[in-house]
Amino acid sequence: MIPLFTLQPGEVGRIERMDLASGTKKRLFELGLHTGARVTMKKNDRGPIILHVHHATIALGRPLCQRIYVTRQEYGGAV
Amino acid sequence: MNRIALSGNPNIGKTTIFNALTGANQKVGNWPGVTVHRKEGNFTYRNQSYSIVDLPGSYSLGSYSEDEKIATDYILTGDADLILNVVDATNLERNLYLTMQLLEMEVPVVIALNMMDEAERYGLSIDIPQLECLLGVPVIPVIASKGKGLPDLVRTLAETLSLQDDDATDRPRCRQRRRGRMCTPATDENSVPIYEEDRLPHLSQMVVLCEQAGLTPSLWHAMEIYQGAMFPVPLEETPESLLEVRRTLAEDPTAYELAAIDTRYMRIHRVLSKCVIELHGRTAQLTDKIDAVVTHRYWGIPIFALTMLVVFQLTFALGQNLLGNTLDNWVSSFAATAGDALALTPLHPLLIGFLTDGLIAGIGTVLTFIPLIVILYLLLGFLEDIGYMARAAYVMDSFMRRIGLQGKTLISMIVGFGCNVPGVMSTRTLENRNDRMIAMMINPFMSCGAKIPVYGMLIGIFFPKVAGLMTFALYALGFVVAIVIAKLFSKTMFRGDSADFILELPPYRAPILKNVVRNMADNVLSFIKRATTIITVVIAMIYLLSVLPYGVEPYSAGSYLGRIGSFVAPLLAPMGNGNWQAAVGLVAGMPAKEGITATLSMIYAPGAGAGIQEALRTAFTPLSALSYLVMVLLYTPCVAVLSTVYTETKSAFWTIFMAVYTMLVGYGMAVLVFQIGRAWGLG
Repeated sequence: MIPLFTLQPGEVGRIERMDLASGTKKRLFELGLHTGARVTMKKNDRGPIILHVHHATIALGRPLCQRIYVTRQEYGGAV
Repeated sequence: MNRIALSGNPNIGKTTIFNALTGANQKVGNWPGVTVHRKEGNFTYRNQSYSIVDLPGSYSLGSYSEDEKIATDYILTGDADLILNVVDATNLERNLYLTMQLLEMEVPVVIALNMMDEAERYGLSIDIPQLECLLGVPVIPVIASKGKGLPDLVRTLAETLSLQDDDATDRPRCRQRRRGRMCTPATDENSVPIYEEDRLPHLSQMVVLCEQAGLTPSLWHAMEIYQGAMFPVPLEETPESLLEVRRTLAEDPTAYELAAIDTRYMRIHRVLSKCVIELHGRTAQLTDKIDAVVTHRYWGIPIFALTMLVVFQLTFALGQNLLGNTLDNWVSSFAATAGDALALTPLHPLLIGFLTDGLIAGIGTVLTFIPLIVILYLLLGFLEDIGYMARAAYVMDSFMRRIGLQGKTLISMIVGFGCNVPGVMSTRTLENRNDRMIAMMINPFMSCGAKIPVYGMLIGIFFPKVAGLMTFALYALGFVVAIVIAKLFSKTMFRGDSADFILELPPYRAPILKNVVRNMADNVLSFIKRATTIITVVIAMIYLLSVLPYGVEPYSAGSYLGRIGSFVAPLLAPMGNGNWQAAVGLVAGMPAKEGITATLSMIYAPGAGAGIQEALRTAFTPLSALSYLVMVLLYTPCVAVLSTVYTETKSAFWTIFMAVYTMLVGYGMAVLVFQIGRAWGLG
């Protein structure tokens, strides 16, 4: 498991764990960022990261990404 | 009349469907007790008329935010006979979350599967009959922006409502029979979603308990209990199987919260795995390409600044120079004709004076700035509709974060460009109280539409060659002041961590002209409404004060108005506006900012069609005009904004605090501008 922000643009990860306050986690869950969701990193340089999840584009602040853990996936395309 | 409520995630074409269904029939009303606007309208199908209510967009139901709570309460009261759930076909996984909750509530639902064209482009193949079966509700594919599928949608709504009247108990099966569709769902997958129990222990007992306790819809209430709601029965009546759950919840009310969410997602996943095939990976390449440029780490902010500069340049070029001047000529010639005609009538001279100086010259001048406002809001609406404004919030976030604000604050600030009342209200999306208070307190520095006439008038006279740039500079100054004050607040009164940045970036879409125009029309209409109501009252009072005591020469320093102005004027001398007329203008701007333009026109150039430009040219120097503009930009917001701050904070202290501190900031900055300018030998 690696923190979300270590994914490079173009890489795909599967969300495994989120060490976040329950309110924040709920917000993310509703946006489709739940455990098991596949995310594609789109932008990761300065400022919030941008990722794709379920065909939506979500921007997340960096501090948040340090507490979301993913496993790197081979790109498969499926949901 | 049957009532339909529209529900769905934000930004998925709900309003487009609403407008398409209702046409021009809509009206804007208020939620009882809450000042969030809701839209309501009617449509007719086969001589039956239906009313339709647009609920605020939310990702889920419950009580997490104000908007969610409003929608939830509305649905649970059963006011609506049917919920039209608009769903984004490109993101079913997330959109169906809200659908799951609606199904838990056991309200009749029809799903409009919107953006089918985009889904196709992404290579998604959706088996709609199968989806209908699995969810147990009608699913109608539509492309709302092109009006496709809407007739089918309307027919289904009408059919579902009439079936419901025929047979309230056996609705879904009835519908399926009628449509003659075959489906082969597993036995547990009927109309009500049945969740797996592995993450929510004894869910089915909980449902039974809710039912026995009279809590309906029982599944919804059961899920609520797992998410921390009160247990429906006293401890001794709790069945044995649920005692463990009860104990866990008593220790930690959030113990099952995420499990409940997970359970819904698991069900969604099961449904989608049976009816959605992804033919190829996503291909939203255009959005990605544009984003690579406009969210670039170095160019992002300059691009945003440049975009806004272009907006203001265009606003002046089209709104003022092209259209505004034409309108100005019409108003002047109308004023002259009307003035001559009125002089011949046997009306009292004071009344004629009020009509010509106050209404025609004063309010007429305000109205000549309508083209400016039309163009500005068309352009801002365009940027918002294509999806750029979310990117602006994104690129500003790291910058804003460094000064103790979050990028989302920028959204409330941009809303403030229209009017600070919705600007202040939109701070509700900030979940953290400190963030919210700061965002609210700095919102008035974002220049609202009502101030545009003052800018148009003074900039048009004193800085015509650089009008767009000057306006941009004023807006930018307001922004900088807002940032500095926010920084100050975050270090002193509203300390604490700011909330995390979470923002969805919608895909770029071609703007829907109708939406852009409608938004602009809303802004312009409220501008006209204020100009013809509250401003008329202000003008009437100012006029009375300027001709009394009886017999005094109107608009002279000897009138009551002149005396009040002369009393305040010395205070304004350090900012180069030591004449009483300028002071009166600022006072008249307190109830509503259009009052400034109307009052200045009336008292500087009384008499229909008199030359306001010449009068202002003698009364102001470019430098004192500039300091006056700065004062107007920053000083105390209008009464409507203050009362909104009061209803939002429920605190007289913060309301008065806002009125006073903005006045001091405005005055301080205006003095600074004037004194620095004078030291440089200007003015």
